[in-house]
Amino acid sequence: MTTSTAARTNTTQTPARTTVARDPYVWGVLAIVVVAIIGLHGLPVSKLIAAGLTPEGLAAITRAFTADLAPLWNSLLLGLLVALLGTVVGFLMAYAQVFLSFPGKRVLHWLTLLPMISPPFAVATAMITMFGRRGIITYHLLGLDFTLYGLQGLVIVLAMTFTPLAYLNIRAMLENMDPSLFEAAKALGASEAYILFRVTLPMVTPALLASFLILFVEAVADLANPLVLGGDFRVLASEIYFAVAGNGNVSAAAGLALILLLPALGVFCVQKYWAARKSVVTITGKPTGSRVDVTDHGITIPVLAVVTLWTALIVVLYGAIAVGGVTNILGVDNTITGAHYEFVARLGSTAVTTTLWMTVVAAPVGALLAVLIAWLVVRQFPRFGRVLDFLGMLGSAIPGTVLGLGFALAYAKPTWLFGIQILPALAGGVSVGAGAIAIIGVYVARAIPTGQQSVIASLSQVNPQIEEAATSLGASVAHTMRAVTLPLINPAILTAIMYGATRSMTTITAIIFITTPQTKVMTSQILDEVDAGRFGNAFAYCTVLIGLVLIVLGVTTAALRLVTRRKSA
Amino acid sequence: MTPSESSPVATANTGSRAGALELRHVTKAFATSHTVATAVDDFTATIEPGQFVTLLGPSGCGKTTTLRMIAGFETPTSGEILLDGASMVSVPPNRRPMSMVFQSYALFPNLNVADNISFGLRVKRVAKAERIRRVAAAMEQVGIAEYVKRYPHELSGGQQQRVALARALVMEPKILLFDEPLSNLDAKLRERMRDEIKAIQARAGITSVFVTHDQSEAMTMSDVIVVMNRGRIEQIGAPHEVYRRPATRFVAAFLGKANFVDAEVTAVHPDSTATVQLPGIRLTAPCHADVAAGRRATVMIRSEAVRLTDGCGAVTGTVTTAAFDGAITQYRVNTEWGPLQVDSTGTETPRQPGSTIGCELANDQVWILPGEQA
Ligand SMILES: Nc1ncnc2c1ncn2[C@@H]1O[C@H](COP(=O)(O)OP(=O)(O)OP(=O)(O)O)[C@@H](O)[C@H]1O
Ligand SMILES: [Mg+2]
Repeated sequence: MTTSTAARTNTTQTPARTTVARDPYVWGVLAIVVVAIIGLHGLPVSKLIAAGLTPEGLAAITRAFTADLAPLWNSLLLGLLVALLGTVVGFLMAYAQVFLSFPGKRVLHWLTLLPMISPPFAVATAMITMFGRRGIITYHLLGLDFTLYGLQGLVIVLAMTFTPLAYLNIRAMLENMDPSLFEAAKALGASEAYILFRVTLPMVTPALLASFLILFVEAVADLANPLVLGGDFRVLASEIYFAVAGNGNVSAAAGLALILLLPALGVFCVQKYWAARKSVVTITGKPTGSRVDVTDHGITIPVLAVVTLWTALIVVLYGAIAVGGVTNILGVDNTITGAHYEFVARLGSTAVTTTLWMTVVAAPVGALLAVLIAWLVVRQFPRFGRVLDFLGMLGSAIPGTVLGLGFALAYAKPTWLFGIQILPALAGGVSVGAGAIAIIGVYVARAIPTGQQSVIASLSQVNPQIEEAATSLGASVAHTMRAVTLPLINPAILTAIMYGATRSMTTITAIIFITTPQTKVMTSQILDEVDAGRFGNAFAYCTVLIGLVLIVLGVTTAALRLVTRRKSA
Repeated sequence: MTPSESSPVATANTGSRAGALELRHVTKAFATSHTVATAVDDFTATIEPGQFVTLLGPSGCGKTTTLRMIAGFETPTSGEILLDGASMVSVPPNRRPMSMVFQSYALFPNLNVADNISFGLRVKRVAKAERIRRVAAAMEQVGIAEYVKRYPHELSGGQQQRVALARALVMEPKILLFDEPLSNLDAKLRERMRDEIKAIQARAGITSVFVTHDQSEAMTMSDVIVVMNRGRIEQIGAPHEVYRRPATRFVAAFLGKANFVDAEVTAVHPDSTATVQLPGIRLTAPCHADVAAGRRATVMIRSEAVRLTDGCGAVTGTVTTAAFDGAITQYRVNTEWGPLQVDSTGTETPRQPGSTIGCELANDQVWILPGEQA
């Protein structure tokens, strides 16, 4: 028994890329994911690009850069202002939440998040009622002649809508900063203001930058609010809408959508691969020591002032929504009435049930795809996984307007492959399921990214040896996944469902081009009511929708508690 | 350990429990981002049914990689792995009649002890009555019968280790694989588990491959030790062989404490001994087969092979440090041959640093290795 040197020549041959021959099941899962990604992103985007590159589409693009520069310019301006305001406010809210001590911190947290779970028109409509030309506060209380329509209103409303994103992002980073860092700075004699500007801010710069970029893209892509509040202020997103709804010129719309798509993808790449790498915060391990609250009045007073003002605005607006649903015309005729809710019950009940069932289908499907993608990325294809991860995340990188238009283009007609019809028409009133399938598709596409992120994070924490133990005991790949992996990442799966459901129920921008008269969705019903000036009905709808979202959140949170309790018990 | 020529009949030995394992020229290279790293290089070994074989070596030498190739979690870049003569390379890990015990125990946190242990039997669709019987037997065997309903996080490290062992044993595998299963336990418990695992393995008679970097674990448990270094096998042999007759200087240094003195070989004798010229003395001792007269040699002197005397001994020196460690006293002695480590089973009076002493050698505990090529 000695070692042999006979077969040494073998050592120089290129090693296999894979460590273990893959089970057919893995290929099956990969096939499902690839087909889903092609169906949800690939086909819509490629149809959109094709339509955008027709002569009509190119003409629209040329016009947008030459003769009719206003929408492009306005979109840029709007995006920059919203991103700036939202990031600053988001930072201050997060800073107060993490570093200051004051009563009502928990409540503040939920109030800050409220715009995230409410339908897009809620804020805009309430804003008009309270601060518009005949607004309760601006006109009746202060006697001002102030108009919200145009840039000023849009900036405030969009900033309100998207600040929660910045807040969550920045808060996570602030919380992960090691408190001993601040202790060290203090021990070296730094004042709290000095620490804020020389330690805290530089360290959260990646989060600030990421938030700025996300908000910019969201603001530029938002369609709902410019429709309600834009007035003469034309932006690219609303131009796209009017090109379709007004002139039926889909190619022109596609061309304009391409102008939105490119910067959005650029921002996404910068944010995902550059800002993430620049992160200086250690995310592994528990931070040591405990945080000492900042007490310098030079910091606390201005921060709390902004926080209070912003929170007051949220309270006023959501108060208006709640009250507006039960008054005749809020601010004009304040008599209490049940008419709006009766309207919702009579004409809106189908919309409520349709929205709910489509959400109930879409959220788990989105979560399932998120789980499959995460499993492939983390466990099966460590290298190629980066590509899959990127493709899955496209659902949030592609602006809603663009995705929705892409769906309309791709699925309004049957899908053909090599001369064989593989899919009937899925979008539009005359399609199979009366357009519901396409809407569910959009919901799923939008649900995947956040779910994918949370499942990847969770799966990376699971010791791979546990799965190998199952394999070693004879379990097949499929059995291991089902009996071992999935139960271990239950909480992340529920979180994925929760985000997916919230997003589905509140989205309008992405489905505005594919809603049909037969398939009534609550958000588009709200748009109809707002358009018709029946704000009371819109308020009632909004309240019902917020209530439904809260119920869904409550149920999933309770399930989450149950699951995690059982595991730790 | 006779190399079994591969038998083409896969089912030849399935009747007997213990499997015969053979690795032929197994090589594993990992493509990292910049380079290709050879983790295991041309590993050839035969493991007889029922043997307890340890893979021993420093961190990163390829022990885990070898074990994972046997288990099927990695595919060799080249080479063959045979179980009872049948090639295993294309058999997926879940179809190999082997069970692995992991360093982190890898218990299923969402299942209780009984469910953890019966997991594999359920996968194999073993009938319920038999399942219950076998699970109970396995728990009895490792002494955890009273924890049936507990969850892994309600168990101590040692208890978790026993569950992991029972979970592997219950499958009645042909080969048991262990990857540093004891490294998460404290020293006392490690020794106890070491003896228990060895006893259970011996009773069950299951062929076992055990990975460790702890030489005393390897020495006490193994029938055969495979000493590895940088992906290559340095030596394969019984514990006393690798300890007393190491094939290379690396093996000598890795197992136990050894002093090395360079010397000139004056004669090699037919009884596998050689005479070497050391500064001040000629010495005859057992030697490695590659030692040749007229060449350089390295003389390995185990620290316990030196006895301190008041006389002259083989070489005289000055004590530089003395550390009393209960059973033994560890000395460092400066001599003409260089500094020597001496472990003295100190019944004699302790020597003070600075005192001059003689060193006597027990010649049969001295081993002559071929000198490093200069
Ligand atoms: N998946 C992998 N990709 C690239 N290199 C690897 C991989 N797995 C192991 N290696 C490399 O192969 C070599 C051997 O690793 P292995 O885990 O087998 O060592 P080991 O002997 O078990 O060490 P330890 O005692 O530290 O566990 C190491 O240099 C390691 O960096
Ligand atoms: Mg190892």
